[in-house]
This record gives sequence, structure tokens and C-alpha cells, in this order.
Amino acid sequence: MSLLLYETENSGGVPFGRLLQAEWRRLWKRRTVRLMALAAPLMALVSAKYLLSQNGMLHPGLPEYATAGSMPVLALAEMLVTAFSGMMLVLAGLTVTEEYRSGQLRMGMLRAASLTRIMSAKWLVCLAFMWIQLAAYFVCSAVVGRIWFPNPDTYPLFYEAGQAAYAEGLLYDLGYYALAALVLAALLAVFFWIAAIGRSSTVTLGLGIGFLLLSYLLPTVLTYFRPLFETQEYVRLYFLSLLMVEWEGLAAMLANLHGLRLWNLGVIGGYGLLFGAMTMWVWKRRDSFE
Amino acid sequence: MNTAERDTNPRIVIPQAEPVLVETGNVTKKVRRRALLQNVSFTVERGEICGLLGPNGAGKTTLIRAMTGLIRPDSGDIRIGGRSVVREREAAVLHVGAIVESPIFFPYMTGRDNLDNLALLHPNLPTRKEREQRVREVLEIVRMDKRADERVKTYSLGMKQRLGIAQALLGDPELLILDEPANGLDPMGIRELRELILRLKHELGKTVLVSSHLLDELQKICDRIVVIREGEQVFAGSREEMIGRHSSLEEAFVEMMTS
Amino acid sequence: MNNKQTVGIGNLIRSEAQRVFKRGRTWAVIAVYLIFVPLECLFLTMMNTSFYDPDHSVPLNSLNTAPFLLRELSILMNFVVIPMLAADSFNGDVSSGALRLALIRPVSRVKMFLAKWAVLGAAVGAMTLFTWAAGTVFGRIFMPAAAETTLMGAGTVGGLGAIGFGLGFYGMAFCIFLALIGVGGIVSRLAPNPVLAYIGMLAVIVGGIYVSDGMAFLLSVSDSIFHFLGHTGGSDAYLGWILCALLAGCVIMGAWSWGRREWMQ
Repeated sequence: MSLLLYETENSGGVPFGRLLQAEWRRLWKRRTVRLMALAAPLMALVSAKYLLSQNGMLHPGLPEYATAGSMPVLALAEMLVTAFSGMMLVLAGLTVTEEYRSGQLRMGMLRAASLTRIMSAKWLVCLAFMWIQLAAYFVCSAVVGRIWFPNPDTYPLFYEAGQAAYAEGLLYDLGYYALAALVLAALLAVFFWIAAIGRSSTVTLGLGIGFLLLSYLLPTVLTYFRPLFETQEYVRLYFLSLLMVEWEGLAAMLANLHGLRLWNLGVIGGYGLLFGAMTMWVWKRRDSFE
Repeated sequence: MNTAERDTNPRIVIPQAEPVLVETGNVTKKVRRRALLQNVSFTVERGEICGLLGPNGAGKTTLIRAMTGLIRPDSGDIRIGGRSVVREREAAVLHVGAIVESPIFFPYMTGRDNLDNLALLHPNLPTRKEREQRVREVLEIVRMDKRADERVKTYSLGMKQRLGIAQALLGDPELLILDEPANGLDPMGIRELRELILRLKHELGKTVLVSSHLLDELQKICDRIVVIREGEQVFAGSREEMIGRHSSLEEAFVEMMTS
Repeated sequence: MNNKQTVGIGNLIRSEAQRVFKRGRTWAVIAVYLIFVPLECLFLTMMNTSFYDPDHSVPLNSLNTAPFLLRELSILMNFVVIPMLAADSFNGDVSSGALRLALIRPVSRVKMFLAKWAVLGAAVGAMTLFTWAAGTVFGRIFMPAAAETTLMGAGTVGGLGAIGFGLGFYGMAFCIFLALIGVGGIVSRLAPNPVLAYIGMLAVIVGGIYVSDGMAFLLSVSDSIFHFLGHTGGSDAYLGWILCALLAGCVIMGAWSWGRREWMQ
């Protein structure tokens, strides 16, 4: 009886704040993660090189023409689906699948923290890391943009959302990055679910890449059936793909094209909730059976 | 040391009767300027059991990695059966079987599959019949024949250790190198292991190099002892020499470590 | 007792093949690929059109369909199948410590590296061959019948010519896959764990286009092969030479680094 009492009293276990702190340290101890932290400036330079070469082929009046103000957004559109997704897959594969499958997590579990709580902490910590990366990338690309790219008085925003001067443009960029931060959270929830069910880290990566490929392929197939749909229906179906939201949907949200602002927010939230709940369910089951 | 019983054993493949089987000379290994091994020099004679003794992190596993050719010493040489592990690794390790660190197998295969798989890598087991026969033999020697067809991931640590010895015996080596084989064994397991090692020596004429921090065990089975501390060899000689004026190996060891 | 002192490459390959094919996930990833082959066929029947590259579309018929299966399937191959197999084989066994059991045996590590490459190459080769066969048979049965067809680089060909073109096309694709496996061997040597080995391979595939357009073939396998076979000039004109150089580079670097590597795992 007393044992039972002890257990119920202790069911809270370690305070969540301490768990977060411990997970953050574990994450930061990894050499891989420290190396990834250096990625932001490098990615900004690579994007700058690419965008400068693109500029050579574009008319300066187009929104795709990179200027000091639009550089952060243009640079992110490309890196969000590739480098940022890749980093999140590495984080999920290393901190979830690898630790769980190799038995390292037993050390954590002995300290009376449930898998569900450990995984929540891991997700928050990884997300924090990605958001810091995002912020660093914003700063780097804004600086690179200011130095190397033309800075006209005004330039056009995407989807005819109007003209913007440099300062307005930066505000627009901030909005874009805020939405990107939301998508990252949802995508990280998807990857954490995949990492929870993946039997090995390579399987996790394979499934994660598979998810991204399907998210690209299905909307592409949809474009062939474009004539069958009303525009409204079509864009909504198209942006059911998280990858397409990342790639083209964020600018559409800011311009509120076809009422996509609410729709895409719903899609992002839907992915986050669905995969978050499925991940929780996996760990709850393992908490009670192992 | 009794080498006579070796001569009567038909299994031995190395023809020459040189008494010295293992010879390490001034083995030094540095990683990022930190010396993991420094001037380690000792010999092991045929038919002996040699204990490699030292606290955790002293360099025992590094030495064993170098002896099995997994890493190259920065200087010095290791000769096994007269062949240099550094310069002619494949020939030198032909008659060596080893467990390095913990025995990690391919977990998705059964114990027997693991052995079958590794038997393919021994030039002295060219046919399928010979390989299957040899796998059955080594499984019997370590008494694992009953559970051999279960997947390795279901094995206890003790069973993995025994399977580890089985894989080391596959090529019918003259020298067995066992790195902390008692790790994870219960007292009964340790006793069985001790009997197994003595059996390998007396019945099959094997030479054994065994690393451990279990002083009692080494005292019971070793003819010769090598002690290393922080990569440096502090003693190499017979068990009697090491115990010397002390009452036990433990006392002698403690004095070496604290002096 | 046999006096032979070395292990033949045959036994090395058999031992590596056992390790690869007794892993459940090897079969799982092969099964996923094989499921996508008929799905791709279904997709092509629905479209009835495919592309040499984004600017040139082709109406499909019973003779020219086979190569176009690879337009989408090669992405699955290069982004999922090969990175998974290569990361497991070249890195997973090493970083788990299990390969140590093989490394302490009297076998050449250079040969061991080549055996790993050969086994993965055989697996991927079989899948490539299956895709070609499936595409050829599927085209003959389900696509609009044609007595002859025009293929980029081959001009107008009949039934036999189309088969020949298909084989050549898939042969080139196989060489690209082999090169990617080799890249996996090199990347795995540098990466401390399979996760980074996998991502590293993707980084080479995607990062290649930032380095040079000549490296785009790892990303756009079928487009590049069409450009090469069609002599359209541009950056894919030297695909043959680039592939040879890449393959040779991987063999030399891989063999060299496996031969002199220190095994601390």
C-alpha cells in the first residue's frame, strides 16, 4: 500500500523544466548538433550565390528578383524544404530512434520520467534548436542581402500583395519566418512520429524522406488533373501537402490568396495535432507495456 | 611451462616449435597527442594463459585492438607466431581468435547464422561441410548448441560472451585473445568460464591472453601476468613473481597501482 | 587441413550477402520499391505522356514506354533505397561494432569494401533489371500499339531497336546507381553514424548541382541519360566520362581508406 502511495505521489517525477534542461544539454553535447549550428551562415552564402545567378536571368520588376529586402524570404523558400528538413530528420533520427533503440533511454527512464514526458521534452528542445537556426538564418540572409543585393526604393511582393520598401519588406520577412516556424513545428511532429515507429535510424530517415517525396509527388500529380477542379478546391487540395505549404504556401498565406491564410494554418495545425497525438499514443503504449 | 602436451595435439597448425608465440616490442600508440600505449613489451609462450591486468581505461582494449590489427601502433611491433601484425596482418592473425571489447553480433541473425557467416572468412574452412562441422564443434565447446538457433538479440550477456568465445574458436586458432570475457557473467558463469579457459589450454593446447580486472580469477588461471597503467607497462612476468612477497595478487596489484 | 592462406572474394561476397539479406529492412525497402513499379505503370497509363526533360514531352506507346518508368522511380532509388542500403552496409555495421567480428579475421579489408559494393550493386542491379523488364512488358501490353517509334538519340526504331535502347538506357542508369553506392561508401567512411551517412549522401546528390551542372545526373537520372544518349550537348554530354571518373575515384578512395583505416568503434 505504501509502495502504491509512493508511486502515485511520485508519478509527476522530475519537474518538466529540469527534463528540458537535461535534454538540451544532451542535444548540445553532440558534435553533429554543434556542427549543424554553424550551418546558417553557410546556407545563406550558398543561397546568395544561387540567387545572384538567378537574378542574371530575371527581370528586376518580378517578385522572384532578389533584392536586399526579399533575399531572406527567397533564400528560405529553398532551404526550408531541403536543409531545414534534413536537419530535423537528423535530430529525430539521432535523439529519438537511435537513443531509444540502443537502450540509452533506460538511463533517463530510471530517473522516473515517463517516455511520453521525455519525448515531449525532446520535441521542444529540438524545436527550440530549429527556431534558433531559423533566427540565425534570418539574420545571416538579411546581412548578406544588404551587402550583395540591390536595394531599390520599392519592390513587388509575391502574389500581388503590393509593393514594399525595405523596412516594410523586413516586416513581411518576419511574418514569413514566423509562419515558417509554425511549419517547422508541424513537420518536426511528423518526423518524431516516424522516429518513434522506425526500427532503426536508417529506416527513420528512409521513411522521413519518403514522406517528403510523397508530399511533393502527390500535388505534382494533382497538377495534371487541374481542369477537373474549381480554383478554390484545387489550391486547397494542393496545399494539403505540408511540403507545398513550406514551399509556396507561406507567401500565399501572407497575400491571403484564395483565402489560403486560414486554410493553410488549419493544415499546419492539423498535421501538428494528428502526428503529435499519434506520437503520444505510441509512447504512452510503450510506457505502460515496457 | 608445460609445452609437451601441445606437441601431442594434432590440431596445431603452426609447424615450428618456437616457445614464444606472442612478442610485443615497444608498442606505442597516441591519439591526439595522448598516449594510449607507451613502450609495451612482453612475450607470451605457447600453451600459457597470460593475464592482462589494469584498471579501467588503462589501455587493455587498445592493446588488444593493436594485437588483432584493428589499429596500427605508431611505433613498435607485435609479432604472433613470428609474423608481424603491423606489416603482414592477414598472415599474423591467421591463427588468432579474439573477442574485442564486448561481443557485438549481427542482432538480426541467429547465433548459428552468425557463426556460419564468420566461418566464411576463414581460409582453413573452404567447404560448406567443413564450416558446418566446425560451427557445431565450437557451439559444443561453449555449450551453446541448444540455443544456437535463436536470434542473438534474445540472448543474455552471458550467452553473448559464450558465443563470443565460440566465434573466436572458429578458425581453430593457436592464440585466443579474450577482452574482459567475465563481464556480465554471474558467479556460476564466471566459474564455467574459468573451467572453459582451462579446458582450452589443457585439452586443446591453446594459448590464451585474457584481460580482466577480476584479480581473483586471474590468480586462479594465469601462468603469466602483464600489468598496464595509463598505457604504461608496469609489470610483466610470472604469476609467482608478481605475487612475490605479498599474500595475494590483489595486494600486489594495489601496491603497483598506488606506488 | 587446407593450406590455402587467403579467403577468396567469393566467400567474402557470400558472407556480406548473408549479412545484407538477413536484415529485415533490406527486404522491406526492396518490397517498397517493387510496389512502386506497378504504381508507376498505372501513373503512365493515366498520363499517356512523359518527359525527356521538363521542356520536352513525349506521347507514350508500346515501344518507348520502358525508359520513362525510371523518371520517377530513380528518385525513390537515389533518395531512399540506395542511401538506406549503403548507410546500413557501409556505416551501420561498423558503428554498431558488429563488423569488428569480420575485421579481426584474416581477410583483406580492401576486398571487404569491394564485396560490400558488389553485393549492394547486385541487389540494385536486380531491381534495375526488373524495372526494365516490367516497363518493356507493360508497354507492349497496355500502351497504344506502335510498329516503330522515335527515341531521342536513336532516331526511328522498330521493336528490337526499342529493346536495345531500353537496355542501354537502363545500363547507364545502373552505372549511376553503382556510382551513388560508391559515394555512399566514401561518405560512410567520414560519417560517425548511419544517420549522418544517409544525410551526407543526400547532401552530395543535392549539393552536387550547386557545385556543377555536370553533377546533376544524381538528381535527375533519366533526364541526364536522355540528354547524354540524345547528344543534345550541354552539361550532360560528358556524362560517360564523369561517371567513369566518379566510379574510379570511389574505388580508389574507398579501397585506400578502408585499407588504412583504424577501427576504433
